[in-house]
Amino acid sequence: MPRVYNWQIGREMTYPYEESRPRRQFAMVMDLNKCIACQTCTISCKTTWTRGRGQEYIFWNNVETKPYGGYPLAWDARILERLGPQRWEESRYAGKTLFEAAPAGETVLGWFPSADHWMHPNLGEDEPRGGVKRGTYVPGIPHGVWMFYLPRICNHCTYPACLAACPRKAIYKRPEDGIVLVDQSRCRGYRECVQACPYKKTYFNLATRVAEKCIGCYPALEQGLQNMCITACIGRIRLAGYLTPQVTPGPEGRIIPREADETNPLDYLVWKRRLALPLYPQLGLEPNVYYLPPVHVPLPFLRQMFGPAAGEAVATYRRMLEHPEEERELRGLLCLFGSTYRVVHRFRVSATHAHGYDEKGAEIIRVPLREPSYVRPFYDRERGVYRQNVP
Amino acid sequence: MTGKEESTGKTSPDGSGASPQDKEGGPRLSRRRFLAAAGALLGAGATVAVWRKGPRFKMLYTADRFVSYHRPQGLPAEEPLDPAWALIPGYRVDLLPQNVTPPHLHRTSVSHLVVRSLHDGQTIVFHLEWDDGSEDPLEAIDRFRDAVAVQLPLHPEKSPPVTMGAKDHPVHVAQWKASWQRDLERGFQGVEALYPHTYSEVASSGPRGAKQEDAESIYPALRLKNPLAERRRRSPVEEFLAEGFGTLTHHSRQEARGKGVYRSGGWSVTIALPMRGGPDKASLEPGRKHLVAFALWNGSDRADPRGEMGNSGARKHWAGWVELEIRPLR
Repeated sequence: MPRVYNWQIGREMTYPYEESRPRRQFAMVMDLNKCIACQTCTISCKTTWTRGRGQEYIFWNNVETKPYGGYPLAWDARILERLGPQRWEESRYAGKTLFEAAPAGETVLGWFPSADHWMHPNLGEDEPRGGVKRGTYVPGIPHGVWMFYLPRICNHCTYPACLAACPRKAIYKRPEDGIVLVDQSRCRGYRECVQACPYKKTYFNLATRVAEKCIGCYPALEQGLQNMCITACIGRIRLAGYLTPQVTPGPEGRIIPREADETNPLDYLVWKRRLALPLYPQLGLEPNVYYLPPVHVPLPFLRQMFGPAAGEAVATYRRMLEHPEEERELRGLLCLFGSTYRVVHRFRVSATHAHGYDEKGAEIIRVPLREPSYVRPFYDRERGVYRQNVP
Repeated sequence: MTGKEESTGKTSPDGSGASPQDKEGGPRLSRRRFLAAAGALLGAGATVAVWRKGPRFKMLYTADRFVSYHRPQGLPAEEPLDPAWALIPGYRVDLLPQNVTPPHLHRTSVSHLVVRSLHDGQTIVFHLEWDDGSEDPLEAIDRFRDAVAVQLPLHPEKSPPVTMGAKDHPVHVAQWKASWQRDLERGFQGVEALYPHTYSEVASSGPRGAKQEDAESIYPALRLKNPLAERRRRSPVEEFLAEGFGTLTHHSRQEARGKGVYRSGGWSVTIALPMRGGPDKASLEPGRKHLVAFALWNGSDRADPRGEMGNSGARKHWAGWVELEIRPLR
């Protein structure tokens, strides 16, 4: 079986196909410190792409509460349990990936949910870890009683398990942007992809009897527009763009992107700052949705979910909150999240504003680092009225 | 040794009163052999119990090749329970788990198929029977359908691999699906059939009652004419061309007919194909050497290492090539 390089686990691993990275990789960053689980992303995706019969249970985008929520039920606990305890050595993963742990006769170590597992899209919502008693208060970070929201779409992995497991080669990864798609004319509904994808982001459509998955809103991206789940997000937690995909292994497992562009928002957050982290990198799929980890959550949980860089990322994020002037560039970039329908290819942060540019270098958005505020007197002499605290 | 024949041996399929063996010089069911076989059966109580639940037409004795008998009129192409099938010998095909290419079937849940065949010079009909404790006609999130398939090489003289053929060794496959049979009989089995008490505000996009263009705007698979998504079935049998694992391709000319009936704990299925062949199809001429192979899917059997996946795609029962003798026209 071919050996491929997975930068997220800092080593080579086995995969059924040769390494073949796209020219650029579609990627999304989600700031988990901002998500409020309003499910606007879920509904915008649903009404755009999966509103038909037979798709009732299909949520290309969903938001679940961690640690207890999950759709399908306990998807992450199940696959972690099957994989068993594994080990990281610094930033190098010393355990087995899902491809390496596959039983004989199978391509991937998987889990096939039953219909019951798909019946509770939001079970565990707002369930915190730890009990709250009378008088409980939360003095500092990390919190003793905690939960957070995890919005999820297809990770458009560099090494997709769905693609690896499909015996018909009906799933493909687009060379132009790395989006992973199910060929709707070729799929025969075997559901090997459903079993193989650890994130459970392929679904069987009851009305067509073939598999479907998130298409990364490619018709929008091809016009330079961001995804539905991003433009609808009222918390402005998301940003989509393209990662520079060429990577070579560096010393001590650190990766060196060959042509990383620090003015590219994705490259900046993922490569340069190592602030945006992949979900369960130890599974070996090299997922391309990246998360800014929630700062209030105990580190062991974050390390399990986002890998060994979680501590560093939390420290960086807290520094940005506590010393905004030191992290002006990062703070400026986060201001661009959810501020435009267009895909931001490059950014620049000046003393007062964050600027976003399109592929040709034209400015498409300018956001002030600090929103202007106005204080007006309670009594308006000119109009002879009292101002209420409403806009 | 791969085959055993069975026969009730009373009348020939053409109704002339003589069994095919009598006419063709095959093994004759003598009174002594019949009594010996019957005695052996009665001695093994467990075996008899299994047989009572088993297929409708019993096996009695063996043959070394699979024969398609000539029946000039009244070919039961869509009548798997037609008495004509009881009049010809059944050929036992032992099934193995597909464990050559991943994903594997890790064990079998159906031990064998009993196959029979008749032809009229224009059409050949395969009659397939097997024991299956559950009828699985629906496909849903975690439900898989029963199915059975015959595979015929386009160039039998080139000894093609049984692994769905290979490059330059194309095979012609005809698969009967319990789900398509149910679709034919009761209309497309969509959400309404799977979950009859659900309420939906988007009925217009459903497979039943929706305008074709509305449905196509919702379902790309329908727009792209994926045969699985087609809402109006013409036959429960789908024809394919293949050149090895993973190459199965819906045939541009769909001519196969057939029918499956679930009765007494087992399936009886017919698959009827034109014998003339044509482009990218197997042509079956009496007197020429032919090969045939079989595959079977038991939808409710969970045969992956974790007991989760039903039989589907590569997770199938199969058997090697069997020599097919097509008896000449009389």
